[in-house]
Amino acid sequence: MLYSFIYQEKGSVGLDILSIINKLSEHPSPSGFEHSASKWLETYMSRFFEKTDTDSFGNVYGIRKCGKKNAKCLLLDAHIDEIGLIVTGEKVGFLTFATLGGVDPRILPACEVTVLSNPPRDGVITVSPPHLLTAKDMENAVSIEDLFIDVGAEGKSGIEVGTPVVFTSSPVKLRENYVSARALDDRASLASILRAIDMLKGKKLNFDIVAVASAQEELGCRGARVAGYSVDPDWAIVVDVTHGTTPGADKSSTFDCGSGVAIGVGPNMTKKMSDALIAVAKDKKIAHSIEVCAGHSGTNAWTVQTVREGIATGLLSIPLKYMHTPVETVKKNDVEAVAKLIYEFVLWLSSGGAVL
Amino acid sequence: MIELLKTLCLIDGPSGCEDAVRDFVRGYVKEYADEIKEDSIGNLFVLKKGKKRRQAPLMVCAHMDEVGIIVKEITSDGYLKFDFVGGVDRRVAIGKRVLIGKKRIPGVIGLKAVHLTTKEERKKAPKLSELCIDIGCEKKSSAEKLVSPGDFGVFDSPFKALGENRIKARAIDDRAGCAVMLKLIGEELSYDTWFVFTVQEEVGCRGAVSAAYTVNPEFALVLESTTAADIPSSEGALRVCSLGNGAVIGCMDGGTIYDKKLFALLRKIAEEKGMKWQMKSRVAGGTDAKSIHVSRNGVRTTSLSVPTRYIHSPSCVADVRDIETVLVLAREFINCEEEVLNA
Amino acid sequence: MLSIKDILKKLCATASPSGFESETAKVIAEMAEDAGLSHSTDALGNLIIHRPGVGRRVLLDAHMDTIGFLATFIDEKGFVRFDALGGISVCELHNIPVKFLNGTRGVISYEQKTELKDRKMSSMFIDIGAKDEKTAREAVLPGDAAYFDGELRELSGGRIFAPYLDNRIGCAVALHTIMNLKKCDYDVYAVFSVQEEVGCRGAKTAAYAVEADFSIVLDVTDSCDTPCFDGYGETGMGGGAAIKIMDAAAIAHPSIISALVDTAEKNDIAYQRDVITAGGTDTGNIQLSRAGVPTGGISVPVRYIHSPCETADMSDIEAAAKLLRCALETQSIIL
Repeated sequence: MLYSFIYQEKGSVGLDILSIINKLSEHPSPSGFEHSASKWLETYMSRFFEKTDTDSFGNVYGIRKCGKKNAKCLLLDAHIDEIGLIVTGEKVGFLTFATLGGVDPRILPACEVTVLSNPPRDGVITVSPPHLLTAKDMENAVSIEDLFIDVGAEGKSGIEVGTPVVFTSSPVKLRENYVSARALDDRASLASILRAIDMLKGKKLNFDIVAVASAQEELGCRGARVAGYSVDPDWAIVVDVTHGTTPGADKSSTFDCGSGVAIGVGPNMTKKMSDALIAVAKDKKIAHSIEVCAGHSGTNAWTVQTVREGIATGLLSIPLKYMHTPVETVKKNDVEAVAKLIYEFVLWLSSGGAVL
Repeated sequence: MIELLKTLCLIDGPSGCEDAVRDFVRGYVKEYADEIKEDSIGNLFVLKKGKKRRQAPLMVCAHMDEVGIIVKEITSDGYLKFDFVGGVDRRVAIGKRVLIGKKRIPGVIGLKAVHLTTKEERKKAPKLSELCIDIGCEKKSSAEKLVSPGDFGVFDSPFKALGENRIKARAIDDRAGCAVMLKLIGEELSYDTWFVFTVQEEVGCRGAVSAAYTVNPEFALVLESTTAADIPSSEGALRVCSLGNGAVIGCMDGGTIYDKKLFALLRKIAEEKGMKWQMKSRVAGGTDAKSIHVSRNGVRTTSLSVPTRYIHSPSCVADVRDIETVLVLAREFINCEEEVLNA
Repeated sequence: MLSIKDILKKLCATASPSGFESETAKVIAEMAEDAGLSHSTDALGNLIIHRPGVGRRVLLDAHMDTIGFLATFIDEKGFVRFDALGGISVCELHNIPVKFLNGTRGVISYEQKTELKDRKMSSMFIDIGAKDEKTAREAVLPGDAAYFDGELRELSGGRIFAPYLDNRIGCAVALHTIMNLKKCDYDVYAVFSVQEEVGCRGAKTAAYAVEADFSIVLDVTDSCDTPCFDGYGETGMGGGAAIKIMDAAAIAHPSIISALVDTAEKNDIAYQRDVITAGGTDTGNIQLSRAGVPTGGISVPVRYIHSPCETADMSDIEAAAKLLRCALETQSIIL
């Protein structure tokens, strides 16, 4: 709340991060099937950018020009796709499916889903009644071959093979500034970018910014690769989520929610970018921690870094609990910390930080 | 019927905490009932007078409670450890939203991210002790201001239409039975009938024990929701019963061998009325009949049930036509002439 | 005029294990020349046939390489040890005839002492009938490539089998189409790509070079209709051309999917919607080329892929070819 008050510039959209997240959540975009969400998103992003664009891959671009000729360019990336399921066939009116992206089958029994047919259909994933199961049965995870989607069909469902499916869940506010929803990986990141852009309204910059909501990250960081090629930027900041600390998770690989932005360090992040992001965070007293990635960061930073001649790439992550479940949970403060760091980094870069 | 069922399914009432359901029922029946009373465990008795009075009284019942959650402990970092109230397969709780306590504090039951699990871990369902509810609180002290051990919770699951004839909701077991009773209470009946909305069915059919003792009926009709497993992963008898195939008439389940003459009577009614009926192909589950039929010197008991898929999960699915069928058969049954019932 | 089956037969009589595709390339080039089409070959060995047009640039891709074997070591008794070119399961390799590119024949067999479940490529060998290492080396040297020795044979009901229907079928569909294309404004490049089986490498450079407006990949897909098939797709033999929705490497562009479905419906061509979760195709690399190329695929269901007895239905092959031809001639793909 504080940031929206302080940084409310003339002409800015002035949207709170949670309202951006809520809006983004309304439009499902399972990996590989982002096109309809992209269309909507382009319109939505036009509130933040003077110019928007899409490409054949389903990437959506928001473009902010500085007005100078041959200006340098900063790419901000967050992926728009979310994990989901895809219909592979039908068995007596029930749909068989495969996963789109990394779905843990253990979250599926009795899960509510939306089958993105036209019009969309509600569905429930099957589960055997407990009355017929032994305690031993319940110790084992149900394998995906034994699960089906029930859309209430009697006889043929009329749903085509290849129809994508998403979890049904709208955002819910938890206590202490937490919000829980499906697909916060990576809508929370996109919200932080849009918030940063909004905060920058009215600021004079000496380079262009292109924000991309990229497609198919969950299938191998595909969209960011072509987006990186199209935009051909000088620097890139990829924003994604990282694992928030939860009971049972190994603390060495997680970040406490509320600890701010996790700044990536390692071969996948260009050192001068990491260094600069850390320095700005320190200088502006933005809550942050360091995320060390020995190799592949598991994000679009991996494919963006080696596009064309190579792009100086930084990675910012938001701690998120229960990743790839319908109840992904983030703390608003962390999303705001990312927005603020992007904002401060851009101002720093524009005022001489361009040694980068 | 659908609107009524929707209202009922969205009221919280885990076993032992049925107050909100009872309050709704009491309010609903007020204008139709001739007598309303409540006992110490929480059963609600509604007398509806008919044109005549039976020598051998009939009691109709359905349970108000549903399976749910109870908070056991608040951890130092503000998470809630919990247990299930009633028989819930813990695997259906993962990744679901819950509402805790009277204030309906929203929470989520998460799971360690798939990225951080081993292949072996993914083969096993997490133990209940590994699951917890996250309400956003980071400290025990702040969570304690909102939640206490012993608070009940329910799954947060909207009521929806699924396909043309089906509905999806939590607590269809046994708000479907409650809805049928409320409809009947609103009708003109041939005989005086006691309708009992029981409690604590899901933890061992306990409300029905005292309810049957109090009413002391000759006959009982239990209205229930029952296990349907007509899904592709079950075959043959393991499907138990099927949605859309009509009312399930009780023959035998885990707690009761139902009265054979009443079974034959219900079957005859169904066939005369051209209503679909079915039997369960597995002896599974139990109903309040378990407690009722052995009450005092014995009660001739029968049941009509609505086949329900994914029962005891946040997303139960039932067929509206089956519920309508149960209503029709129950109506015919309770209006049966005394001689027919006694025969 | 060559029928699609004639082309398929000719291709099945050639050899082209990944990295060694020149023999097949030559046969394709000759057929193209006979049809008056110009062609070129790039650094990796991709064969590119160009049929000029004034409209949008289309990349048709069919890989011409096949899985195979590479001799790595010859022991003192004259047995040839080898490794796989492409994804081959050891369970397909028990006493199977193979042929080296130089004509040497052999049989793949296995070390008797190794339990079936423990067998790896390293416990297999090729017996070329040599008495000792010296005579073996006269016929085969480390680095020589071999392939399943077999030809196209017919089954009943219009079905066929051969070692390398993956992807002679795609090549035949692409070649037959480009040779017989009537009116079409598209600027068509048909790429017969190399090294798909070892990581879709040829398509990567070809796509960069052609810089197409969109692309259609012709390949085979798993036919999920054999007993207890544990893939959960619905694609089956005899069900018609398989329009790609998704494979392990790509999700087809929605406009291409809908254009192909429309074309099939309008022209009464049997088709099925194809979702596979294991196995990728050139689609993956082509769509990611440069700033992205909208890409789709037409596949033909094949049973026992990557075995010496890949089986397909001629009617599906013909449906795939008709679908491709109609899509190009009616220029139904608008992006």
